[in-house]
Amino acid sequence: MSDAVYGFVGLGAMGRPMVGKAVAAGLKVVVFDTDPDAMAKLVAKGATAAASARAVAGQAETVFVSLPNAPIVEAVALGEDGLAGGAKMRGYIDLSTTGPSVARKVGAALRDRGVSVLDAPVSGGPIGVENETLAVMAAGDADTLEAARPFLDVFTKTVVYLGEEVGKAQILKLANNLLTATNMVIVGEALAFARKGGIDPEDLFRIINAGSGRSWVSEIAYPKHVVSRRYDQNFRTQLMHKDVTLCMQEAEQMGVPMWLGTNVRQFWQFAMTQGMADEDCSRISALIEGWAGLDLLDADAD
Amino acid sequence: MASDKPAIAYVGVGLMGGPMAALLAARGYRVSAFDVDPGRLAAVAEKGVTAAASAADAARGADCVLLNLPWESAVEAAVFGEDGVAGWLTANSVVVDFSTVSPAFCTRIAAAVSEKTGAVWIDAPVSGGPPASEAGELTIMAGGPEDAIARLKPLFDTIGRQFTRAGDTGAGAVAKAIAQLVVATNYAVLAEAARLAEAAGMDAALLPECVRYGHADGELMRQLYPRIVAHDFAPRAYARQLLKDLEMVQDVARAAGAPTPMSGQATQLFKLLVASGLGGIDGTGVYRLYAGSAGNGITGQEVESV
Repeated sequence: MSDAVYGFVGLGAMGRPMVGKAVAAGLKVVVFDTDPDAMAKLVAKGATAAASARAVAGQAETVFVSLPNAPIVEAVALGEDGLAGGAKMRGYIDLSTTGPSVARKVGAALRDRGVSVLDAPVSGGPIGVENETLAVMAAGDADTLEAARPFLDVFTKTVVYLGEEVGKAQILKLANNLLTATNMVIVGEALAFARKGGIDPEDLFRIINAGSGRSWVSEIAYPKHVVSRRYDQNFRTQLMHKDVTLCMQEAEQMGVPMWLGTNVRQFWQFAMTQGMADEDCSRISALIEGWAGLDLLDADAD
Repeated sequence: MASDKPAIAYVGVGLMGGPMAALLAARGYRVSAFDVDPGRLAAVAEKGVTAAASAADAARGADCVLLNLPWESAVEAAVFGEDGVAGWLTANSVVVDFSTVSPAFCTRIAAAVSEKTGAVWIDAPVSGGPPASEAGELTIMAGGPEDAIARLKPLFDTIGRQFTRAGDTGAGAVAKAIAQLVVATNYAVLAEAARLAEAAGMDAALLPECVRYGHADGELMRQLYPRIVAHDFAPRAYARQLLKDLEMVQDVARAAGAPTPMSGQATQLFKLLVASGLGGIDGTGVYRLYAGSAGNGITGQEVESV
C-alpha cells in the first residue's frame, strides 16, 4: 500500500507537524488549508497542494481533517467545496476536538454518502507529534482505522479503538481535556505557592514528577513552557476554553454534575476576558503568579 | 372607557397568571382565558373571566394575547401548537409573554410570529411571585418595540407597580435572567449563612434582627432566611425550577462570553440537590446540602426530615 494517497485538511499547530512527519516517512499526502503559506511550507517538504477540501477528496481515498471548531469541521466536510463532493474519498478521519454532536452529525451525513467514518481526536499536543508519542482514541468504522494506520503510526504509539459509535472518542477526549484544563490552572497555583515560599521551580517539579501530584501538565507543559518562560505550548487560551466549555455542555446534557469542572471553565472564561484569548494557554500561570505578587519572568524580554 | 381597552386572551392562569387575569377582568378588561388544567380555568371563571375551550378559542377576536406559562415548550405549543393562538393573530395583534424563557427562545419565537402572522411580540417577564401577582404589584421588565409597549402601558400599570422597557425584543428576558442570577444565588448564600450561624453556635433565628437596616438586610433575608432556619422547605419556588433558571443564566453568560463564577457555583449546588432527589422541595432546601441531609445522590430517595 505504499502508493496509497492520503488527504489532509487543516494545517494548524497539529496538522502541520503531522503532515511533515508523514511526508518525511515517504507517504504521499495531498493537503489543503485556507492559509497558502501553511500549504507552501509542506509542499516544499514533498506534499501536494489541492485547491479545496473537495479537491483533496477527489484525489485521496483516506482523508484526515484537523480543525479548530465545530462549524469549520461541518463546513469542510459537508459545505460547498467540501469533502463530501470529492469522488475518491472512501474514509474520513476527524482528528479535531469539537465535541460529540458535530462528530455524530457529520459522521451520519458522510456514512449516508457511502464514506466510512472515524472519530479520532488526539492527545499530546504538537510536542507529542514531534516525539511520536501522540495518543489517538478512535470510534467508528474499523476499516477506516485500518486504512489510516500507516499514517497514524508515523506519530503515535497508542491507539485505543472504542467501537463503531461515532462521537464516543470525542467524549473521551473531552474527559481528557477537562483534566488538562484543570491541571493547567491548579499546577499554576501550586507553582505560585511554592515560589512564594522560596522554592525553586526546578526543585518543585523534580519532586512533583517523582510523586503523587504528577500529570502531563507537570511533567511536560510546565517545565518546558512555563519554567522556561517561553510560553510556547502552542495551544491558545481560547481553544482550552472551547474544550472545557464543550465538556460542561455535554455533561449538562448527560446529567453529570461537575462542581469543580464548572469552576475550571469559569477560570478559563475569566482568562478570555483578560485579553488572553489568542495568547498561549501556558501564560495563565503568569496571571496566577502575578496575583501572588511574584515577578513575571519572560524569556522574550531577556 | 371600557371600549378603549384591548380585548384580552389569557393563556396560562395558574399561580401567576390566574390573579393577573382576574385583576384585569375586575378593572374592566374583557378577558377570555384558557388553561390546560380545568380546575384553574374554573377558578378564574368565578372572577369575571370567560373560560375558553382552547388557546385558539380564547384568541378569537382578541386584540392582545397574554401568556403565562411554565416553560418554553408550553409557550411554543400555546402559539404554534394544535389549537394554538397563531391562527387568530394578525398584524394588529400583540402577544405579551410574561413567562420566564431564555432570550434566545424569545428572539426566535418573536421572529417566527412576526413572519407568519405580522403580530408584535413583547417579552415581559415578571418578578415578585404569587403575592405580588394577587396584589397587582408585580415588577415587569419588557423587551419589544417602543410604540407597542407604550400602547399597553395602562395594562401593565394595572397588574404591576414597577414597569420598565428594558430594550428591544429579548431584553426583558435578559433582565429576568440576570434577576434570577441574583435571586437564585442568594438562596444558596442564605442557606450558607443559616448553616454557619447554627454551626458557630449563635441563635440562627436572630440573624435577620441582628442585621436589620444594615447592609446584609434585604427582601430575601426577611422572606427566605426565616423559612430556612425554621427548616420549612414546603415549595414556593421549586428547587428544580431554580436550577432551570440558573442553567439558563449560564447559557446566556456563555453566549455573551461573561464569566459567572458565583452563579456557576450556585448552579452546581442546585444540581447536586436535584440529583439527590430533592428537586420537588423549595429552593431554600439547598440548606440540606450544607446540613449533610440531602440523601446520598445515588438512590435519588427523598429525605423525609432534616
